[in-house]
Amino acid sequence: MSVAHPTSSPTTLADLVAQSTGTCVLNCYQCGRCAAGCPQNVPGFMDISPTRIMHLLQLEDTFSNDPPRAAEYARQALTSSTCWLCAGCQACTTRCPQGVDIAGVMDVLRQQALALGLAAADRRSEDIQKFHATFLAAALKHGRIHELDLVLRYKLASGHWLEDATVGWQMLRRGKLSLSRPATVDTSKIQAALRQMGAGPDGGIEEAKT
Amino acid sequence: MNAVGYYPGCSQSGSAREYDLSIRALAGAMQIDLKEIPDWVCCGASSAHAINQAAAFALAADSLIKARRAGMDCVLAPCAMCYSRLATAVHSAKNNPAMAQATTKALSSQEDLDLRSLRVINVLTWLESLPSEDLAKRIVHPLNGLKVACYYGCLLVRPPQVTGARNAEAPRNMEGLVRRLGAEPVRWSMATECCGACFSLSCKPVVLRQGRQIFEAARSSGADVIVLACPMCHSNLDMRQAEFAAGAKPIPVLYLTQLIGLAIGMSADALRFSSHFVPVEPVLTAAPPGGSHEG
Ligand code: SF4
Ligand code: SF4
Repeated sequence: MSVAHPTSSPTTLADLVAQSTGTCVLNCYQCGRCAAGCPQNVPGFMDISPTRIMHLLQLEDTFSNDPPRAAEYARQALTSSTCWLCAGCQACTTRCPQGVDIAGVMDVLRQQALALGLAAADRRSEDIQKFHATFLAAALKHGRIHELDLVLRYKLASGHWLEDATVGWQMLRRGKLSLSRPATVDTSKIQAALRQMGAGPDGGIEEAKT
Repeated sequence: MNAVGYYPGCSQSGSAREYDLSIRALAGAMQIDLKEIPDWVCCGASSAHAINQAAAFALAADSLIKARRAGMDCVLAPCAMCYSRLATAVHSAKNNPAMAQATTKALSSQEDLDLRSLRVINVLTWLESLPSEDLAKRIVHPLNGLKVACYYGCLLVRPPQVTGARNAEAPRNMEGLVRRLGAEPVRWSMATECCGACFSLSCKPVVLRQGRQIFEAARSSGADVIVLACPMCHSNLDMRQAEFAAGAKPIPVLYLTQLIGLAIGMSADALRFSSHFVPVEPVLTAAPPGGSHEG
């Protein structure tokens, strides 16, 4: 009857990746094509290249009979800023000659990093985490995003009050930011469905962050 | 007849209002009935799938279920981000039917709703599907001589497993549409490069870096205008251009549907050019209404 959920048993990161993206991490032959075309794999942004992330997952899988060692590889992948700085542009997934969905791997890493409390804590990664949490909470609460409300909530969460004040003012002048919330849609069914599926309406983000 | 389900997306009522207006006006001119999905919800954009896979699927599926219930079998999502999220949900429904059915059941009391047969299309696919004579006979102001950099960005074409793009690395369908208007697409290198717009608020150095690279490539290709089909790309390349291209001669950034609107004789007011950050006048000068037809 009940479907086994990945959270119900200790699973390796490589297993989760296989489950979620449909490809085995060992398919990667380390050609480096994903890293070469990644716009965020540049100095000062991602701390580990996407190719190296795949290698860490392969090492975790290979050393599964040596749990502490395997866990250390997983920890390196999970604590890296790479998944947070990933723009989700899908260049890697499109180009991988081995059919690895690297962009999907980044989704798994972000979600696991949050669930395990291992998410990268550098300023940029934290800002990005706050943005995603703010956005998803607003979408699930109101059903639609009111851009001005999103900007203010994110500024409240991140403390970046002054950034883009001029752009914001010009947007208002040009009628590109509506002051009033356009519409809200009842999302109680979505929230109930997520609770029913054990995902929690906020995906456990609040719990993970505290 | 000719009814298409319409998923406007959140930015169409705010920062991308001019995109929404140009699509609706174009549909009106072409006698196509756009039927907005009743009570559609936010697609979750780049954030939902980043941190909560179940929420990402549920948000997209909820709107698709509502489209199905309204009897729609094709949904047009003009924002590339929304398009990607909705098309990905249909793709997951095909590849992971157990998960999709469980979510669909939890979201809707109707059990027979199947998302797999829904077609989600973007603006490019929609425009390409219109009979070419229908567009050709409406062109009253051919854009002869206008040099256009067609900018696709990421999600209109990638990943091809989801979008079905024939040539995800070097797509040419926007160029084909632009040529039909009399304009001249340029050859350039950044057509499918990411603009980083998902970091517009959360990591500004990314958008400035990517925006500058795209701008410089368009500049050196000799383009008079950058044309695109995504509110996020537009907000980046238009709104932030003064920041990442300070001192350079600006390049106007138009939605593809606005460019078509110009060619079929819609006024600058109707196309809301006044809401753009980069002045659009140079485009109107390069291809003046009623101007050179010798092409
Ligand atoms: S492109 Fe594919 S095969 Fe090559 S390194 Fe990246 S994941 Fe591995
Ligand atoms: S999806 Fe992420 S990892 Fe892949 S190329 Fe784009 S930014 Fe890099």
